[in-house]
Amino acid sequence: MDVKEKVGKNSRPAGIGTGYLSLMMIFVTLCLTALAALSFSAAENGRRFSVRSADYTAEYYAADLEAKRTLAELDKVVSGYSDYMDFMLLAELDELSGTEYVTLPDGLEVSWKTSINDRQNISCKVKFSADGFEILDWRTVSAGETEEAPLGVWLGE
Amino acid sequence: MNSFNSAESKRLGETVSSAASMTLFLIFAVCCLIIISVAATAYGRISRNYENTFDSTAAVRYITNKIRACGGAEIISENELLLRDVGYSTLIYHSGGAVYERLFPEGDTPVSSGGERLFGAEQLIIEEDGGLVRITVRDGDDVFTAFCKG
Amino acid sequence: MRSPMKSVSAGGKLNLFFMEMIIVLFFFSIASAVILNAFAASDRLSRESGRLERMSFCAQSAAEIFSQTGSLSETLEKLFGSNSYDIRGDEYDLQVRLPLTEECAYSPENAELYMIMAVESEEPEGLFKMYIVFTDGSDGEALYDIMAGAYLPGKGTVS
Repeated sequence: MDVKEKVGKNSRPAGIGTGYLSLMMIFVTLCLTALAALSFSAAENGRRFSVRSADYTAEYYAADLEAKRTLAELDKVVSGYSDYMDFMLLAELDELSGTEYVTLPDGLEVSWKTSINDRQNISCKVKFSADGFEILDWRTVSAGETEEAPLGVWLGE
Repeated sequence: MNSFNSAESKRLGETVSSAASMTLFLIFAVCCLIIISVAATAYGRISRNYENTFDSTAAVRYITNKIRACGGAEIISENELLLRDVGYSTLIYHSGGAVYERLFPEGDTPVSSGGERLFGAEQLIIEEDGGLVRITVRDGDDVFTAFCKG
Repeated sequence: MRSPMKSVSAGGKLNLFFMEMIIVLFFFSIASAVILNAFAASDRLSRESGRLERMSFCAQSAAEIFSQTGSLSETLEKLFGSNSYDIRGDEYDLQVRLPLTEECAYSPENAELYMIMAVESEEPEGLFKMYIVFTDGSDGEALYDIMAGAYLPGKGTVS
């Protein structure tokens, strides 16, 4: 028998068989792809949350500035009068859109709302008197929510 | 004799090649394992960072928004904040690595137990600072602080 | 009849193995490049969102302090501590450019971010507007901005 033939017959497969490397690469690539996708998804969620929160902060302070502008205008108007029942004062207040007022024996209570976004407003209530103004209420409310409506807290009955 | 020698040397060559291919395969396998472990670590870090950041920032924002929407805020202690409203009050407090919230009917004495778990946070500090409320939340390496009018 | 695979000699198998290795490495390097990019993008997004959160909280704190005090210097002192800040402008318009780290801490040596705060008087008297903008330390790109205000009737000029 020829030696060459003998070697060919008796020899075991040299090294690693074909296909194992490909299988391993497919497995590793799939693992890496899954991890990369999960990482990207987590990071993207975080970014979306941060952008939304940061945008809300900007919207809130823009609305707060607008509410302060309204307060400054009201203060300018009201400070020109000593009698809060004055017809001219009430006419001027009527001209300021979005404000509601109540005349009190010792002053004038004005309330208005400034929109933060389509879901929330800043609700403001200020009392003007001879001593200047006092902020009674300056809070965020849901659009359509009334301040007087209390939250239904279960009393255990 | 000559053909026997050439067969032997061929076998030796094949053994060496086979060992080399085996070594290459092993190196490839080890590299793959290292790459997978590095990727898993990176994913773990990004995910943990997201969770910590989310918990801390969401806690600060939640408390800030609650203060802005309430009728009046009162700091009871370093990690207890009472928000008064019409008909009820809300107690926000920190206990056992989390921020909790509990609602009480008006007139009830608020107690820091029970309630709803809001966010995981290692530390919550609520302080009064020049007429403003300073809220600090720490979770992991992340510390977030924000001022808010009380 | 012998199968074609079995008929491959040991040397041929080695050649096949090396060929496969080359092909696998080629595809793996392409896949790795794409995956590495995805990881790098995730890491960048994660850092950016953390930075945006910090900028947003920093701006919020500045807005709240300014709303209370109406003073730029007091706002800076409360927010970043006592330092010599380069505030420029006149009694109706002031501005300052602060070098900050990514954590929004004041750092003249390591400016990863700039926080520009501009305050101006508005009509009627006592109303002040504050504009806060964060820019990138390297390319000056605007990253985040907010507008806030203060109304302090007794206060005529900005400080």
